[in-house]
Amino acid sequence: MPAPAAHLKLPADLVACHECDLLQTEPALLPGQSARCVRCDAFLARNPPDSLDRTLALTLTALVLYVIANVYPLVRLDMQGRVVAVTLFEAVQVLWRDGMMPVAALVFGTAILFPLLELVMILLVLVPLRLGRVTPRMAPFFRLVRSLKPWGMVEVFLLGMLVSLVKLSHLASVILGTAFWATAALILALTFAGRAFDTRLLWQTPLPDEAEDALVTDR
Amino acid sequence: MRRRALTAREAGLLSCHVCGQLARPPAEGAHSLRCPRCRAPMHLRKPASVSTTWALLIASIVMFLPANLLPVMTTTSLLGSQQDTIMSGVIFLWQSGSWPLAAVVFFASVMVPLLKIVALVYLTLSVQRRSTHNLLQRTRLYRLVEFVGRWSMLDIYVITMLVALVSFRGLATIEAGPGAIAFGAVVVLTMFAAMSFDPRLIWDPLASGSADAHTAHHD
Amino acid sequence: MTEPELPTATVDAPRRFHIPLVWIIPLVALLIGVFLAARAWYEQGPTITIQFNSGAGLEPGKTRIKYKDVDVGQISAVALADDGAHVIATAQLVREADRLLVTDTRFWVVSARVSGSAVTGLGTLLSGAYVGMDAGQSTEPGRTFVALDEAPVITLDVPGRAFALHAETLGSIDVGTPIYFRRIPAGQVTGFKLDDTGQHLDIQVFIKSPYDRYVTTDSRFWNASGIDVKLGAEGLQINTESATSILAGGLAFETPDAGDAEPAPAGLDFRLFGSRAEALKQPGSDAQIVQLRFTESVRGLSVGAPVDFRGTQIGEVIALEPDVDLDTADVGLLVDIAVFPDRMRPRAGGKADDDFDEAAFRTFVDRLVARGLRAQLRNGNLVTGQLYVAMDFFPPVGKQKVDWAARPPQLPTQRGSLDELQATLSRIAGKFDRLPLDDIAQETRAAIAGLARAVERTDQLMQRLDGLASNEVSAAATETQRTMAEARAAIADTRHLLSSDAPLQQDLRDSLQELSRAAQSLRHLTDTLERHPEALLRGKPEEKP
Repeated sequence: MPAPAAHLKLPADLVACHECDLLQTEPALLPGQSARCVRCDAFLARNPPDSLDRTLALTLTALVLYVIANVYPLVRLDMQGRVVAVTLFEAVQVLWRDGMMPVAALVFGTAILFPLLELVMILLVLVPLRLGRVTPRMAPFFRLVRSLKPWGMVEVFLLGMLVSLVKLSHLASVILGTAFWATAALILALTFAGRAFDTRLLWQTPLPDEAEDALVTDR
Repeated sequence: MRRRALTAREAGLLSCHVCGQLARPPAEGAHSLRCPRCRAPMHLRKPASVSTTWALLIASIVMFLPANLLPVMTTTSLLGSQQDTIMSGVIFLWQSGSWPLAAVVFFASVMVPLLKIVALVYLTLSVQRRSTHNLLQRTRLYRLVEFVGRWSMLDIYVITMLVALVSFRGLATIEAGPGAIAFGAVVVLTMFAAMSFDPRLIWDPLASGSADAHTAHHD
Repeated sequence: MTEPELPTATVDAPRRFHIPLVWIIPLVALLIGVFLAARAWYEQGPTITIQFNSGAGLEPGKTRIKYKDVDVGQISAVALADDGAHVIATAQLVREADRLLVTDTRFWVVSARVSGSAVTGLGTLLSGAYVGMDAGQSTEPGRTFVALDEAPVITLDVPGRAFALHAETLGSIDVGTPIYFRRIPAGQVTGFKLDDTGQHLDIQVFIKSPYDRYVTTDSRFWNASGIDVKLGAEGLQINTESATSILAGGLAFETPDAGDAEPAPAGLDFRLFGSRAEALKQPGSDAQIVQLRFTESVRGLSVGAPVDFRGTQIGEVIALEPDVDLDTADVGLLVDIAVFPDRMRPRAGGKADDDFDEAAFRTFVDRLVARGLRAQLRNGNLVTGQLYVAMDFFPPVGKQKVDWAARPPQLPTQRGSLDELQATLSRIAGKFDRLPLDDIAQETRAAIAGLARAVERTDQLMQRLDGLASNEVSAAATETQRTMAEARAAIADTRHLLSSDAPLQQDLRDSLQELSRAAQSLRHLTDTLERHPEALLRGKPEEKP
């Protein structure tokens, strides 16, 4: 491959844009600043202040809120004297019992399972980091988090629930439950946690025998 | 040395999609490579990007028809049974006066999947034809597709909540219909299609246009 | 130019332990979570188990439990009991319901019910079945219950008193059958069951306050179901308590002679009579049992038939049984009657509350019997052909006495009137049969023939005398002599006829006597027939045994 810089040692601040593949230097970021691709404006990196603490705090908050959001009922419906209150899991159960198993599995995954896994994985990765211990075993968890992230759709779920409640408000009286507010707060916490996290934190502590050559493994 | 716009690929470098580490492919083989830093699988470009995206797109187009033609929801009440497709639900919302909701549901459940499919088809075709026009716009389009993708799950959650809440035996029950499974499939497939599309392919014709003819192909 | 030495700013040693403010957020979230959990734990009410016969209407997580129509809990789980014959439901109640859960609290499933006496629970068609609850009055808390099969008729907190009735048959009585007092619904039947011997039914009733204080030890209960139609000597009588009682049955109670009787204690036993008339008869406690022996048919006489004295009821029949004397081959029927001495006591000067004096009663009855008091079976009801026992005075046919020594004492009886008539008529028929009617007829014919000949001859003589010759006169005179002789002979014959058959005369006289007596009975019969012409439809009574 006729690459001009092929044999040069790579500078540490060199980065390739993940959307347009442009090689560029990543500048040193002040706290609060974020770097974008010079060509396609894709987001490259950020340097949030107190990143580790903030991410960890917000993730723990999200976890507490997640528990509340799943234990308490989302909404209370009163139709002609019959009262129904469901938690998120109960809603999935109804779908499953009705025979809509693929849809139930999809909802379970995107609204319950994956967000939880995401939170747990982040904690598993960040807590040792906060405590100062770094192990190579963290990396797969982080990869898992990265791949799960697009599949956690709690915010879409909340909006969907609101739409359904508006549809039902003509027929019955609707009272938003504790879990609803907890879910709304959860979404906020997750969003802020995502924005507070600097991925480079994970890699700043160099692993032993870091090579610049790609490793060959047998899959 | 004056740096020109150089993609990592041109430079013969692999870029890790997880941690951003740049690495050189080893001399021997160019398969089953892993990132030296985070051990994530490394590829020059997403493997079989175009063909995978095409396959997933065709599958989602196939599922799109039953998703809109089959009923997604069956409402049974004392007055009888009524089946609703996505469109009929939108029309019902519109007619009953909650037109903002109708707009939201229409946009999320009909427009978004459709636009996603159309956009991805366009993007894939443009990559296959190695077009060098509108590079930035296409990248932006891809970003939009990726961001908006999850919101088409809205209707699934609406159905979930309706089914879970309205199950008053004898008075009214709502059940999910086969259209819901097809619709869920469309959402999942389009999300996978967007994930399997490598946006760097958009910029590759630009790079290889100025390089030699025997630049690496994208498989 | 020398620059002044600028002091160096002091550097704060970096704080080892630096907690960013952001940690407040998870703290707050945790506090909220703990607060919610604590509140939920604090507000958690008791968990109970209820055993049902079936799980119908019970949806775990949905079915509510209501007390006085207020939501107090929810069924959380439904499972089969270990014995497989029942369903155990676990329920979660609110904290406020804790004090209501005592050992005699009752639960039942409320769903729409349509029955003859009530339509209830239609609201559950819309809202779904729920579990009703009635708090008990015990002081011991309870957590395990067995559900009732049906809603209790009276909830435990309704004031009133429960009593027990015993009856022979159930009639149209059911749980929930109303009980009326002066046509006001005063209570309900709460349950019934067959007693251990299977002879009677024990019926539990509940009389609500304030009507329960009108139930005294003297009160009478009767079955007022349906329409009571009586067709009697007085005519047609229709009695009914209410429209409900026609459809669903009803009982009623009343206290005759509201005197000093005290209010009945709860649980007191009463007898359930078949009708109001029966119930309001004088108390049977003071009845004297007397026995009567009849030799005629008692068909049509039933237990409970009245004992009547010239129109007033003084007792009733309580038993019938045959009396066979193997030695003399004499078969009769014993009828036990209960006589209420109150009815026979002299009213004037005597208080109704006087204690019963047995000796005085016996002397009294003895005197009546000596005057001719007898018991007789008479025809009572024209529709049913029922007999009743009538006590009346009859011309003393032989002096009879009351046998006080027998247990029960026996009163003398008199043959029934229709029976008497039948016997008399058959006797007359027999007598007529025995008369030599043929001979009498023949001889009468002969006598008449002779007389006719005599008359003819006299006629001829008169003709001859008209165209007289003297020698004809002597001939005529001889003729006349001869005719006279013949007439004399005829007359002698007739006299012989008339005097010879002295027995004939005697018989005729006897028959005439009998006829007169028969005429008397016949008069009585025609009287009866005039009033009860259908008596003859009964058909011929059976021959004496």
